[in-house]
Amino acid sequence: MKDSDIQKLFKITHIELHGDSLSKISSSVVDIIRWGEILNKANVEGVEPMFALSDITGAYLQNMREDEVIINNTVNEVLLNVPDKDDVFICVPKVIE
Amino acid sequence: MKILDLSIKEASDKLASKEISALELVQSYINSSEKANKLNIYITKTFDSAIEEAKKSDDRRSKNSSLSVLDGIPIGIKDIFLTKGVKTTNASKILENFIAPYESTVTSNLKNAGCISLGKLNLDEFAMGSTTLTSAFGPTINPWKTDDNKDRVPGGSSGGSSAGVSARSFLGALGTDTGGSIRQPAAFTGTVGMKPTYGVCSRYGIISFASSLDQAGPITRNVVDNAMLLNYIAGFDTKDSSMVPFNKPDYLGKIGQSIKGLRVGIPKEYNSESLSSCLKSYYKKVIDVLKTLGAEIVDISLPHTEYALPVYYIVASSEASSNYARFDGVKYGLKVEASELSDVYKNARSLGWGEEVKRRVLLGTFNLLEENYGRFLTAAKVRRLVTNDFIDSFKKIDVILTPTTTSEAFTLDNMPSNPMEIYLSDVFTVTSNLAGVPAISFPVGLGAEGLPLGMQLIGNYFAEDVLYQISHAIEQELQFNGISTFVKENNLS
Repeated sequence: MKDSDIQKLFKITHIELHGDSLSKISSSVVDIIRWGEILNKANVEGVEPMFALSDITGAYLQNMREDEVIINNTVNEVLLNVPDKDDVFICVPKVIE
Repeated sequence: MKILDLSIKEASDKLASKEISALELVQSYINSSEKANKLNIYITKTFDSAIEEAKKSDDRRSKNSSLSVLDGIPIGIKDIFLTKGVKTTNASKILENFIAPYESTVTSNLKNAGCISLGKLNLDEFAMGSTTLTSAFGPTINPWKTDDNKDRVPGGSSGGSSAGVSARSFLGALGTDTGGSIRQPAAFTGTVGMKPTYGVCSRYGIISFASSLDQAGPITRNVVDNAMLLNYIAGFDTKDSSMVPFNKPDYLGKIGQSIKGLRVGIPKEYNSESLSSCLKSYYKKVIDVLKTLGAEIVDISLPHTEYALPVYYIVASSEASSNYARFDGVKYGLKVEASELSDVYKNARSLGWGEEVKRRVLLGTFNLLEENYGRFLTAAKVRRLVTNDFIDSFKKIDVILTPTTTSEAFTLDNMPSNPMEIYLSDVFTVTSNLAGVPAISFPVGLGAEGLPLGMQLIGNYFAEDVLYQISHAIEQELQFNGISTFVKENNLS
């Protein structure tokens, strides 16, 4: 991996590191990525990928609940966590540039 | 016998016969918890509400309307489960002040059974680690010590749960297990930890780490207590779409039944060079116990085991990086003012997370880049091979026996600086998360340094009751005295 690849990762993950932390994490990330290359040894020809247990246990197909309205949270409960609010509206930093 | 010596089963019986009250029991565990402050087991204590709940429990009992056999039992909850009205931090600064507006299904199940929570327990930040050292609120200390008097890690990520059970701060605890986070801490603290089949316990209200691997489970002092808790936390939940309706057995049902004729697989790949000599000899000893009890020992092979760890770190970090997109300082997380939107995101994630979470988000994001998709796809294919190893094996055996860890608990001052060395310690536990099968860790004795060691039984899908049956039979034969150094020194026994 090149330095520019690592810099790209920092940019898209919105993570900023400095000093020792930057060099330590960068080098360990490179080492772990290299370690993963051992998987190239495995014979996966004709093997279907397994992304979840659902294709073994059959979930999703069996677990469709009725299309009914369920009240989970009231407005007041949701607003309890909000650091900045205006009446029942949540104030967030500007998200349109 | 002191009140703190009682197991969940014994306490439940004495509550039922009114020999003890819930208030007396809860107060005893609060006092015991206070003595353990230096172990840093809790992130948030809820002692006042626990006292109130204990009074209500006693009131119910006086009217013969107890909610269940667990009514009045004090427990602890890993701080990754959402608890309505009580802070849930995930051991991270990024969620330091987060109060969930709703309750997780699993904690709700325990509340509805009358269990009394004493508080939210420490863990590795966002459940990423095997030591509880990565918590933003300081490390938890293992209640077991050796002659060198050096502090040991309680394992992780459910280190507050395992240390608290071992230190007698509560009778049982909830943990979560993505790659071994219930079983490894159980092994390091001389406790019993169960990771159920993926889909037995609802993930609703658990802060997701790796959604296809995470599973909740109990940590307790013994096997019977563990089954008692699983009886109440397990069950189909329409709020978790990755679950399947299943026939929930009584997890205590097979305990005490003979294990004669059951077939126990010994995988050649797990008798590795990295095992301490002490663990090797305990492995042999447990095999001998099983033979004595009439079980059939069968040599098996799980040929793709060598690939399991790299598959795990690709799958888990990728799912985490996707799940954690919501922690951006807008939807969730630290709100740090900035003039540019990108700085709002950057401040929240850079100031809110510790190194290990950042490392894994970087790794996961790398795996999910379009140009690296082949890497993620290969890992998903090898995951299928690892899973097929188990499916094929369970056609000819009932359970698989392995050690839980490769060593005793590490000292805090001698941790490897290279994170990969710590990752490698999960070698025996990650496979069952990848395949989704259940696995239990139970203590078998003390190692060369005088610290507890654990063995692991892995079962077929939904065969938790068989795991309890066999681990209980071994427990009865070995009669491990699980009283930690901390409990002895503080006269909590």
